[in-house]
Amino acid sequence: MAELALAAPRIRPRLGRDEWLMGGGLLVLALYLAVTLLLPLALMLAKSAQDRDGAFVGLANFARYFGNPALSGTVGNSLWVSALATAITIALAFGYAYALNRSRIPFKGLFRLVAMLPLLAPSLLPAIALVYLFGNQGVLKGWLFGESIYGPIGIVIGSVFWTFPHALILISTALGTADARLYEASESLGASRWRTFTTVTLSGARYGLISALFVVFTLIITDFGVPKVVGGPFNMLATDIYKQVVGQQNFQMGAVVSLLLLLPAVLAFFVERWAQQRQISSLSSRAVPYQPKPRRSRDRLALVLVVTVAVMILGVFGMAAFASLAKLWPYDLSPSLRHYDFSATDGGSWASYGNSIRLGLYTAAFGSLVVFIGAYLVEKTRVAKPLRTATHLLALIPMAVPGMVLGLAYIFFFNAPGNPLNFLYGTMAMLVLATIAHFYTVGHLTALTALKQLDPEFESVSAALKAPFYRTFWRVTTPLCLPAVLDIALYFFINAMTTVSAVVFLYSPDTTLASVAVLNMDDAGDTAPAAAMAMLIVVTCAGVRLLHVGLSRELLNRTQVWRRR
Amino acid sequence: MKVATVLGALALAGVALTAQAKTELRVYTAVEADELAKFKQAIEADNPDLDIQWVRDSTGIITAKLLAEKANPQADVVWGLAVTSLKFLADQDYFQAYAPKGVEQLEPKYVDSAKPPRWVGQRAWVAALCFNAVEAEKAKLPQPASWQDLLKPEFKGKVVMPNPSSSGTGFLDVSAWIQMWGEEKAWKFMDGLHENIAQYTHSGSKPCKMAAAGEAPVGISFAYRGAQEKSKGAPVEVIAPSEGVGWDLEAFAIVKGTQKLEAAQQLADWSASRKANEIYNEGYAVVAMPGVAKPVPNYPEGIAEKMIKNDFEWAAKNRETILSEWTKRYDGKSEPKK
Amino acid sequence: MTTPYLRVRNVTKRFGHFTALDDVSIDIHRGEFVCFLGPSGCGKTTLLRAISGLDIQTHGAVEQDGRDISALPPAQRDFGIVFQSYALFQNLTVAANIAYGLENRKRPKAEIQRRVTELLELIGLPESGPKYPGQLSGGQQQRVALARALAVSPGLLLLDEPLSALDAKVRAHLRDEIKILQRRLGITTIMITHDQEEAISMADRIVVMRGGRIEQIGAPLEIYHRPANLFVAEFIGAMNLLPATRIGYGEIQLGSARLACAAEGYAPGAAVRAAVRPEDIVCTGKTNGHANSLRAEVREMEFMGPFFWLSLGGGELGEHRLRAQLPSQRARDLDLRANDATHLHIPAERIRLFPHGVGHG
Ligand SMILES: Nc1ncnc2c1ncn2[C@@H]1O[C@H](COP(=O)(O)OP(=O)(O)OP(=O)(O)O)[C@@H](O)[C@H]1O
Ligand SMILES: [Mg+2]
Repeated sequence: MAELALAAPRIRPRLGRDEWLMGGGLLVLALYLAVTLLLPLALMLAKSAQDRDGAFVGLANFARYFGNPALSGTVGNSLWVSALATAITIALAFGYAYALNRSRIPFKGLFRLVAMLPLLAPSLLPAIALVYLFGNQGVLKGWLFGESIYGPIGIVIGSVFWTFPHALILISTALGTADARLYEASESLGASRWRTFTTVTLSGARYGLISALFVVFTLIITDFGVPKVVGGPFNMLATDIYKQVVGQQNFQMGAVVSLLLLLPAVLAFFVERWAQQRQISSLSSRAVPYQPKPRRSRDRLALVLVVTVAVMILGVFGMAAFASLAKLWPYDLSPSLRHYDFSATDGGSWASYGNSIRLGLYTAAFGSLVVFIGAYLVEKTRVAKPLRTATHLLALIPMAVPGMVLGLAYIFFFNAPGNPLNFLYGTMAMLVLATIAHFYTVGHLTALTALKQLDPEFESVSAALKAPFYRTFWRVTTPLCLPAVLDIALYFFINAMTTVSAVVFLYSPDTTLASVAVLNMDDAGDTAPAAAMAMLIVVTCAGVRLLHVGLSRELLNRTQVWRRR
Repeated sequence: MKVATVLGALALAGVALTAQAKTELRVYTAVEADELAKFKQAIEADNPDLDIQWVRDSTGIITAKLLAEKANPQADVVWGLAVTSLKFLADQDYFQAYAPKGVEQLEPKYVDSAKPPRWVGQRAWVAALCFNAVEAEKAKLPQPASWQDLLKPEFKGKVVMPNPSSSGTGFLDVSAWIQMWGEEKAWKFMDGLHENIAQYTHSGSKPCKMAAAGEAPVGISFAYRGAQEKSKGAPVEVIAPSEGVGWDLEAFAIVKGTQKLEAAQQLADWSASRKANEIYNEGYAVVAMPGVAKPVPNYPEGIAEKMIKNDFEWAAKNRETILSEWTKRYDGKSEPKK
Repeated sequence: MTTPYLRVRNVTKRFGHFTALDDVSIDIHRGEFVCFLGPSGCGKTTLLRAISGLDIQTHGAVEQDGRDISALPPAQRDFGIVFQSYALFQNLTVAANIAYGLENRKRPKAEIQRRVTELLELIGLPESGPKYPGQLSGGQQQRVALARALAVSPGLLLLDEPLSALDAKVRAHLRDEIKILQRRLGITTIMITHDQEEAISMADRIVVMRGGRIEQIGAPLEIYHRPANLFVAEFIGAMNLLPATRIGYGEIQLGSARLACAAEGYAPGAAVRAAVRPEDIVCTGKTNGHANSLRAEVREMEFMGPFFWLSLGGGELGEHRLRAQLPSQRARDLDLRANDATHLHIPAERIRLFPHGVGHG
């Protein structure tokens, strides 16, 4: 009988309209990701093995890069500066997170808010502020004991500033999930505080720490905003790419350096995934949240640390704001708005700001749409399993691809002769595509988390009731996930406003951007207008953030009835 | 209702028509950003059918961009770019020869010798030092009068200079030193200067802006930028070093194969006109049309006499070798300098 | 009998190399209430999803009402489904949830309204239409889920452990309600359950499954009293399984006692397992008035209210142990205590033999 069943023909499920639509949607999504991500990256790999005329030269470009000690010296530079900055960031962020999660300091909400502020600014902003703080005319110049801010010192300080919130979020999550029972156990066993700290606190947070370590390292080594502004004569990999590509239009060499940048990023990606999984499995569902008891010495120390860091963060913003408003730094500090008139500076004036807003809005709207529908198709449909897996993997790639690498890949791909998509080159549409691709993964994972929280049988019920899946998607799934969709939109908007790395290669005279304008103005020596534009970005992002809070609250109010039981 | 619809449609068509009547010209330029709005306005006022779209960047970058796009040029006109770059590109058959109306009125040495000319000069921009007197006072620095003065040990870490591979100003300095002193002496000078350099900047105006802001006491830059900063109230002196100063000619050319040849020629005609030369003179002391130039405020005295005899032919031919030698010697220095 | 309403024929489902359903066949008649019963992971849900088309089988056929639906997507089949998790749309009101499938069929508004009211009454929640699911108790939510599934009058109702998430009292109550509703509507129903009591009390027929195969299909009484194999015997209800040897014609030796029973199919001298339900063992105390009897001692007595659990051993049982249920009233009459000796009567027709060494033992 079993034999017979084996011999029986395999059932080939017939596809209804829903299944066709789902399959079609998945296919479109996979194609979309292939075109906006996979093909450009593949082409870039190919370019690194070609000469200027497109002939295959194998590893010759790499040999040339490493043959030039001036160029390859940057690898060493990048490594040690990034490592140092990462170590400082992690240490500070750990202290800050510890204070927020494990001590009884006042105003925790406020401190958390301040720590998140750097997320609203392009990485160029702290660098510019550093010039005003510690440059040759800097107000705190003396603090450097005669050392110059232009170089590794500036890069390290600037990098610590803008990666701090990223590290804080990861470490805070790890510390926030502590199990009070472990502390009680440790205490009842008579362990010293130090021993409790090392065995319970540190080991509980270790995956968060590891993951933060790699993420921050990658952010720093692939960032070029900070070294561009305060690097002075000190070369880093990211500035090298920029110099090769923008300065000398040597795209092949740019591709070579890009590949080098890809290495730490890819490594970080895998370590992060690994750590995330560990973190989840180490959290038992019966954990009891830890409530710190007041302890004066610890709390006082925590407060000192938190206040110091918060003051430094606010100081950086304050300095940038002040510099943008001073008439003629440092000789005439009377307030003036003249630096906010961008018409006489490089970077495309106020139009750039308008373009950035448009880019932010398009990216937020189109990006959250694509990402959410995409995550839905991956998570909730019952067709084409292999396609779903492949699409999910594609969606994870951007996390491992530095922005500059993506930008360069876009040049190669969209400007390739014979590419039918060539008409997009230099348009706003391409900037939108690039920005969505650049920040796809976080949005995708956010959407997946939200979708996974819904009952997995909604789709089955809907099919049984013969409701087309898109109707249930629209009437049930989307409303239930709306808070997450709003989060994704906000994330896209803020990143579109602040990013420089991918778009710096892709803008055209009609699509100059505010963040790139900051870079170009600083490049041309117009530091004050650069600070002004950077502040404009910060204020805009902060405004949108507030709007988001309001909107989310409103949404929550309106849906209160069915959310809370 | 119906009438309104028809009127609306007509209005829309009208807008579309006028919009269509304007020809968009994509113009690559290295002219300073603060002058571009002024030029766009003047050009479009006299040529209402033109719509100028500037693509601005430093000389080196615009040059590299043009080179990179050689197979598929994106620009219609190159305007206000260093003639050393233009010559180099002209030799690669990049440009459409055209004699603008009234080109014969211009100083012949500022116009391509080919007939019709492939490029036409507009005005000369001249190297100069920007010197922050206030900061110098604090650091007890003497005001430099010559290039050689910059080699003095007290200037260590006090001088900022543009990187010649990206900046046209940087290149004209290097080119002038070699032309004045010969290869050997010039490179020796640069080796010495390198010891005192705090930073090589991407753009030619940044050193002067840094001097104006006191970030560096001395910026090797060009006269226009110095004069501008001084006019804005910065405590800078604009100095023309005694040995002579390098200069380069800003010129324009029409890109071969442009779809908008007529509009491009219209722009070329305007750019060779007297009116254009008068506007050029607003910031630059030497312009292509003789007899137009009036003194420019805050320019160093006698700078015109200090302009070296410049061999553009030589500079264009040797541009690549000079730059690669320079890059080999001074670029990518990984040690931060104080 | 008429042709079955639902026919599952030789259905096999594989996940990669793992076979979750192995050549499963069942016929279900119109109006029947069938329970799938079996240990966790035995393939109950997989079978249900194959029937619904939510997860189509690898091989084999499913026919519904004479139509081959083997390869059809769920939307082209005719069924309603209810899950353990209720899967109610939290952002829609109870009424909107119930109306969901109806709206989809483009029925007039008034008709939908009427039907929703009717269903709300049917599930005993006439006032709850404007409420949101989050405002109802678990049992109420499950009733709404049931109403939602029934709203479109499907030909087949599928219930995947609908009661498992509820607490015992609500569960018992809802169990009856579902059964009554099913009778009233006469809808063919398949329900998955872990709980044999649930299956026995609700089902017309029970399908006992294990490891992707069907072990037995039958009415609850049949399954209970005539388990087809050791697994079913052990899985359903309590059962004593004792090693014995077939001796003469229609006789086995259990310990040192000889007991008559139906022993066809076993050769003399064959080792067998004798299966006896605890409630079928009659304690007669000191008197021994029956043919099929043996002597044993009471090792333990556990008072359960209406009855005692007896643990018996020694005597003719020797090393073997038997569990028996002794009604409380009878224990009083016999004045039985721990360590007392007693006679046990086991009716011959209540002893079933299974081959030795097969199954769990
Ligand atoms: N999508 C799947 N991929 C791989 N294996 C699966 C999948 N779905 C089910 N299985 C396996 O098939 C077997 C049967 O699963 P099924 O869900 O049908 O069990 P069940 O009888 O409903 O169990 P339970 O009582 O726990 O709900 C299990 O071993 C399960 O692990
Ligand atoms: Mg199940």
